[in-house]
Amino acid sequence: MLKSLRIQNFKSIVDDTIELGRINVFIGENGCGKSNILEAVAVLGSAFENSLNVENLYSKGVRIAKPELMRNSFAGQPKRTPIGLDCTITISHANYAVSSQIRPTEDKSVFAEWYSSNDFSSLFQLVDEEERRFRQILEHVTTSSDSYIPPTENKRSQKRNQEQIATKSFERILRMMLRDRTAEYISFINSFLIYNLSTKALRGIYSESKKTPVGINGENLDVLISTFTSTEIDLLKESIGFISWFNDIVIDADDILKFEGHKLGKSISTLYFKDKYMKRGNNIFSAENANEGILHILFYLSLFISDRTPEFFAIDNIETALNPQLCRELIKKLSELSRTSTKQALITTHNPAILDGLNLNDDDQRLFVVYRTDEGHTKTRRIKAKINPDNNHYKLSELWMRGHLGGLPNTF
Amino acid sequence: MRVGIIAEGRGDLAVITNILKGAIGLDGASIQYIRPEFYLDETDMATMNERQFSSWTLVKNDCCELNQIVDFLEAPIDEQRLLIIQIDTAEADNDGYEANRPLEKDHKRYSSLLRENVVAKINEWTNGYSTENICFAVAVEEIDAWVLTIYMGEGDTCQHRTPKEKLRKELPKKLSPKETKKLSNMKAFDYYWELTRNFRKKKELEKCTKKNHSLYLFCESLIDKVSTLST
Repeated sequence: MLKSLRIQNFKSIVDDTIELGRINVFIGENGCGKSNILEAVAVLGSAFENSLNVENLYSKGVRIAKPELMRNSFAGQPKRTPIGLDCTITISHANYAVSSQIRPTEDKSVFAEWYSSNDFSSLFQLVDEEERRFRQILEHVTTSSDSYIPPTENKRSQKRNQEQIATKSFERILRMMLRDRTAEYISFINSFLIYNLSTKALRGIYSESKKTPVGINGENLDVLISTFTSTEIDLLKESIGFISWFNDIVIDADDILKFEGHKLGKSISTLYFKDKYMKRGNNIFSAENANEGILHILFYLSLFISDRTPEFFAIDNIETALNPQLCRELIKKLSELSRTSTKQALITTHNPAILDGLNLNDDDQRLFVVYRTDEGHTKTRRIKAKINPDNNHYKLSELWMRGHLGGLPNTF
Repeated sequence: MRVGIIAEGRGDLAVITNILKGAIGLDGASIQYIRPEFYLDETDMATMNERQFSSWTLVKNDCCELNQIVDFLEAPIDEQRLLIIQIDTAEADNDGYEANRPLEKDHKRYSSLLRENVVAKINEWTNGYSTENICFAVAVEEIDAWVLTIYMGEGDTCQHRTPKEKLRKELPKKLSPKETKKLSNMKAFDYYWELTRNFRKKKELEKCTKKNHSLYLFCESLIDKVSTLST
């Protein structure tokens, strides 16, 4: 899990540190830099996999501009300073710091390649520690096997040779394993994506993102659900229970329903819904015809339930197409799922109702206000709830709308 | 720290915002405008004139009803909070306001005593609600007298009976016709924000506090309050 993130010199962020929980909701006025925070994590992931090219960044949901704009362009800020991304990751309750310094090959071109120098030294220490433990085991195994070998000179020499070969092979395997482990520790950052749903992509009418198992705009939702185990399907259906009319999901793998007139056929999605109120046999409608809300909700639930989707991801503007009460129910459900499915998410929203689904007394659920300082720099502030407050008349959504949280423009 | 402001008008909010920057370095993002009109929607405002959502009587109402004050100061958010209540003394003789004017000739003494009387009056309105997290911005006689400190030479600007009018006459002398025209097209908040931009600089603000004692008293109480709350 990503425990903290420090961003320096990236877009509107000059220097900001965020202590993250499992579900992290970011609010703030338009243009305050919420999406820049999400993009910084995606850039960090690309830096760790040494793949800072335009295609890779764009496919993760990063908005690309020329390097002069990808870094700070505030007056008075030093030019050509690298983007600095430092984070702390938690592995088995211990924290490890990893960081990356990112520079472009040129300043003016939007197609500029970027390169990074990554510091994984703390992870190497962890891996060294694991190596030390492996070696102890190896020594133990070798020493214990001594007693089974008869002590003749020839056999001794033969055994020594065998041991040397075995040790070398073992070390080679060990090195590979440890290298893999370092990669594994940061893989959840590498696979970080920013989801920003489009209803047309969810309906299967439009497909731009090639990411698998689902695209960043909602592509291939039907394919993802078709891979669900029966347990996952049951959890999905149970989780979607707050949609009053919902009865069932159907994946029409053979596309038979299309030829029975359930859709025009412009959509490639094989996803269908059953309505609880319509008469049996005539209660199935396609993703092409379904309301936007159910498609968005189904996508988010699937994203959190599936073990094929990234462990760590962002959702930009989660409230799109959702009724306020559904916003609340959705975020509550996603918070529950994030714990059971060990997912971590960064979520942006402009809808106050999202806040009502959060329990700020749970340290895993965190709310941040993103704002621009008087100098225009993006900063974040965590909103913590008072323990046993005297005045608890208002929901978090109301507190936001009344200006008590910040994150609203002061327009006159 | 989050600072809320209850003020008579939008222009007053702008002046206080700039003073907060200069006096205690507070960023605009930490400020919450409570009055005027923050809790009204466009449907309400369409049926009201500006006097109905911007005057000293509404500041008094907020103090008497306490709702806005309690909501802000006792919000269930875990952070330090300070509320600023701004009021002019120009209407101190009006029915319902009735803060005694001291019979003092010395400008500084006059400003200090009048401020004390107004604060006592506000405490009456709030029925003794704790002032631990409240700071009073009492402008003698109008907040324009504070603005005048930027545009006038020596002498306490509180001696002008109609500072708004004095400011209107002084500005063309100090600003170019282009600047004056630009200002005249601005809304109240932007107009006062631009005029008092110098308050955002600590040294400039310090100079200005020497030209208006009520401004000095406000800044002094603000710095004291923030220092007490931070420890």
